[in-house]
Amino acid sequence: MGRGSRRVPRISTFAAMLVVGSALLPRFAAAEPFERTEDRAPCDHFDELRQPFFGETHIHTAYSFDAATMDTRNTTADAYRYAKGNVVGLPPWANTLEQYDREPPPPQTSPLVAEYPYCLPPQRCEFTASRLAQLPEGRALDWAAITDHSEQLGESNICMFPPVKDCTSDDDCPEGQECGSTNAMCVPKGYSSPLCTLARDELTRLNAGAAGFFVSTPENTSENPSRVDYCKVDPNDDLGIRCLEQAEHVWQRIQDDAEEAYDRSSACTFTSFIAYEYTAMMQTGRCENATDLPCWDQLDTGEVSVDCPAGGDALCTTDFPGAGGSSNMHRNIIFRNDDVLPLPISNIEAPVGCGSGESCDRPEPYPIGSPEQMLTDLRAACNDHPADNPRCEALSIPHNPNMSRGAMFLLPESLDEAQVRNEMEPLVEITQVKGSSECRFQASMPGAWGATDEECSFESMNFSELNGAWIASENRNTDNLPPNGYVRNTLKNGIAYEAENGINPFKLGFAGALDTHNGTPGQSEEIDYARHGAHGLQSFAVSYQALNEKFFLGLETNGGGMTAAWAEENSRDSIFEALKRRETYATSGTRPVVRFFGGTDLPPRMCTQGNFAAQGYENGVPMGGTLSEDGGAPRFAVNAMMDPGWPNHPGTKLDKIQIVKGWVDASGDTHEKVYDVAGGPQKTAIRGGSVRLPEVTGPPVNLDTCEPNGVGHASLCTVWQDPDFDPDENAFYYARVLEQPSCRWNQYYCNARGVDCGKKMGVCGSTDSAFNGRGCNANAECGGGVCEPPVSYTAYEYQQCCSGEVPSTVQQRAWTSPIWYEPSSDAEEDS
Amino acid sequence: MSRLARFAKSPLLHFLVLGVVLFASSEVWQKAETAAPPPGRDSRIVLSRTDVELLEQGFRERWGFPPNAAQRRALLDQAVLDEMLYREARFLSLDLEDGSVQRRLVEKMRWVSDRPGRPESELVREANELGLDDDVVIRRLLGEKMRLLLQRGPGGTRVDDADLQEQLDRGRAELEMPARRSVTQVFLATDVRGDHTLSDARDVLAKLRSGSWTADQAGELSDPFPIGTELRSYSELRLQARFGKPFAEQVFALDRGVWSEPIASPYGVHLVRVEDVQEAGVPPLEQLRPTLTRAVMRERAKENLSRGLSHLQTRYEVEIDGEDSAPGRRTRAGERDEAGSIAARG
Repeated sequence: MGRGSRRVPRISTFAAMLVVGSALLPRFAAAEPFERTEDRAPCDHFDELRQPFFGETHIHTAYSFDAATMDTRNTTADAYRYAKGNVVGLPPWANTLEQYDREPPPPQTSPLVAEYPYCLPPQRCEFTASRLAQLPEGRALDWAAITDHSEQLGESNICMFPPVKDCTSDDDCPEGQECGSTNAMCVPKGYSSPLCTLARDELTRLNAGAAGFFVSTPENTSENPSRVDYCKVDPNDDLGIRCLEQAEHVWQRIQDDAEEAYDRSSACTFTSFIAYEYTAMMQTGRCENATDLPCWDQLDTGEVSVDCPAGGDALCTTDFPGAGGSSNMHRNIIFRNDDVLPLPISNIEAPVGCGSGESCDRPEPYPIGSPEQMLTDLRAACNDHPADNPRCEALSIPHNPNMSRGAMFLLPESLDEAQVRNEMEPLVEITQVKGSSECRFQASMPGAWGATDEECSFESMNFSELNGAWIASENRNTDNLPPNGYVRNTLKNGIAYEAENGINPFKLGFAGALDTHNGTPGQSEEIDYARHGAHGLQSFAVSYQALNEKFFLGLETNGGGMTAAWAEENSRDSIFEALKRRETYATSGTRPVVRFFGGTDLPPRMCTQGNFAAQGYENGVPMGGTLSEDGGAPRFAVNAMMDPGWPNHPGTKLDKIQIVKGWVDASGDTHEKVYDVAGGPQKTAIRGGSVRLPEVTGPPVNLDTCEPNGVGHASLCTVWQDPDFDPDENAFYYARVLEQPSCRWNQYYCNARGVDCGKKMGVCGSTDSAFNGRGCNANAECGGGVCEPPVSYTAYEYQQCCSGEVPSTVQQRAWTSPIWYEPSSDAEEDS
Repeated sequence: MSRLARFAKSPLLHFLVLGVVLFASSEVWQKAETAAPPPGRDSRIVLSRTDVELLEQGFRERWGFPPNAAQRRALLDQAVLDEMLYREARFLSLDLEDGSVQRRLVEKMRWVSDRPGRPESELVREANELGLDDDVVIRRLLGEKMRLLLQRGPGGTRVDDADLQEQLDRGRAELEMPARRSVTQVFLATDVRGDHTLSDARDVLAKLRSGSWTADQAGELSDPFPIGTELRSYSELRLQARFGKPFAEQVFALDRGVWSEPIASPYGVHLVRVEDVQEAGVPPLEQLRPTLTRAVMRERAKENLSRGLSHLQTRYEVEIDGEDSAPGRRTRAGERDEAGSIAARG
């Protein structure tokens, strides 16, 4: 008895410990919300309720071939300096050295990676910046991924290499370099090839084009890509070893610069990501009988296309409005940490195929015109943690589907393809300099692309392909600008595919970015675009291209967008996981702060209770999440704050919040609807009832000064429930937050030149006093005299500024990543 | 005569024995040759008029104007330094068993030899004998090897905490973390309260100041704010990014632990209590260990190289085209360039 009674208390204590221990377990399990894969201090500002960090996911520096030919001299190191708020230089460059300058002697060693030194006035050097760029105070970026074109890392280092070391023979130069015959200086082997010579020559003519084309045709847009001739060490070299060796040097420099820029202290002021762009393109035609499908065999030869729907005797033709360029299949590849691949997987190693070339014979099992091979190779070499790269992880962000002529998001041909796209591509770049890809609306044919909300005409570009022909308004239709090229339609296709097959190949959260070639990440404000443009020498040094609507880098482009990631702290692991789980929103260039939650149990009064975020995480999922609950229609809560602006530059107030819903019905058809849920001309209820904000009348922005007049909401918050919810239908919901109208960059640009479209272009100078001094638009109006514009602008500038091709104001906006809803039975099948 | 005796007298046997003796002695000779010590250091370096002219011409072509006195000096010093490093490397036999050197020699022999198919070790040996090993590529290879050797220096590669601390102290400015504040803020939105915003704020402030409120409790009083009511460890610039400059400046001027007067932002009015203050300062050593270690190694390599080069120069006499010969060269500019160019490659 004694023993038994002694034992009982011990068991009780043990049981009590078990109970207490298991109560503590969930807390310990939740202690680390993301996996730490690198050696660094945790951030002091860690917040498990997460915070918005603004960053860049797409920018080019001098290490990209096309940027170098546009005379950009900012390298990755300079780009990080800019991102952190320091000043950098932009072309054109002036040589301000005096003849007998006391400069120190040049370095005697020939570097392995092209150096692009420059100085800022009033310093004197060979390359003095004639323009400067700097982010305003307080607008430094939190993070940046720099994405140079991976195919030409080596090619560019060879052609655009600035010689610094003189030599008398090849032996004076480092491995891989030779003594140039024309200039007796060490240059990489291949430098003197005709192609490289052409590339450098174009630089002096302000006209990048042909040389880039001669490189990109074999490497980026050909059916079976291969490296250009000067990459080969001997005639049997299929890999282009010379360029691969050079690429290694540049890729190492990219990694080193990223490491230098990364703040590993607990202050966590800045995060860099090692990244590159996979620049695949297709030279496709389209099927005569299925105009939204690309085809690529024997274009325009009268042969029937095997790629078009069966049963048709359909030709593959390149004769359609908007043809003449390449279908964009680009992706930005971002690595989680410094365990990266020895070289990027570019289009040459893993082609998307489908370009110009003799015949279409892609190796099994990869479909033509698909990123499946690249994504599969990337996953195997990195995400699967092979022995060589045990901590490696990467993700892929497709961009610019609006210029892919529908090819970016063709339905997968296999479940494997759907699977790898779902795993490796969690985000899409929904907006950038070359237009918004959210959706498309044309007043001439409302609803043709599915969308009936006029807001979808925002930053629409009228080009079907990169470098393709501009499509005149009478030719713009769903044949030339396929609905697949827009994200909202792609999201719908994704859930329809999922309802059918159990996996969503297009489960895409949203990123916004630039894709400029100035090496200035985060420079997304319209006013800066008016100053600096996007493409080095090609942009804004001369306005004939900037103001030309028929040029795909011209009048229809915009300042670019931005990505905000909700993460616990500003470190690589934390932000990368935010990108992976899609807890991001894209903006069209400004920086409003937006939260979005969805859940059946969200408190309906979330906007009047405290702790909005805590309630959201506890009772629902954030943007990018998936709901699969039973229990009635989910509620969605949105809280948005306007961009606060910066000194001398107030932000623009908010107009309204909308929620966009897409769903698929039982017969597999997709639908969409847009709901206005907060803000708008209807004022939000004022607590206490009686007093309203004073009415602000007049246009929301002064077109002459571009100052906002204060109409709008500084913040908006709402909880909304879907009145048309059907628990059996797959659906997605994303929030779109619109600002009040503000000046588009062309308004800043034209204002700066004194263009007033309300007045005539110029003044007549005529000996005939009847005409002299009269306003005029052309010589014909001056009775034999000359119609003179003022000094500040030219006739062309006046004409384009006043052409109405693009609006003077736009409503900048944010798009949150969608929240998907899956009927509960589907949830088990989805991996 | 016995069979053995007859055999012992046979010419064939004599021939064979002679052959073996000759063969064996030639082997010994060869070994003796390779075992011979390397030649002594040739400590006289001469730059001829032609050498100097070539250097000046190269400079002119690159920059478009002739070098001034300082630039000319640096050019010559660089050439002399290259030569010193090469000779020192030969003296230390750095070329033996060096893969790159071997490859170069094999390449050359395959060009000039009448029997290029021989094994590589033979080709290398013959190239050395023919003096083909004195060529510009090999000079450069050996010169770089010598530089690396000098960079390593006599000491080991161990870096201890004292070294890291010193590096940290030296680089304080770049490594400094900004001053930061952790605050609790209660937000009153203009869009919700209209003209009442400020008076509502004063009411709430009175409530906050009369009791003792935890951060959580105070947060309950706030209008919804996307980044919440508890802001942890924000720098002034980061506050400015979210709230605008006037707000950030006012918050950084607050005392700790007390509720502020209403502070305006573009969104409305905020009541702020500073919970924690972090002054600007360098991060603790642990956080920067890898960064600092790399920096220390880089510095060490530079210093070692510099010291090594100075020492080297005392062993050589340099004569340049008509200038006086002198032991070593006071190549201060050359040293900096040398170290500088290493850093650029680094």
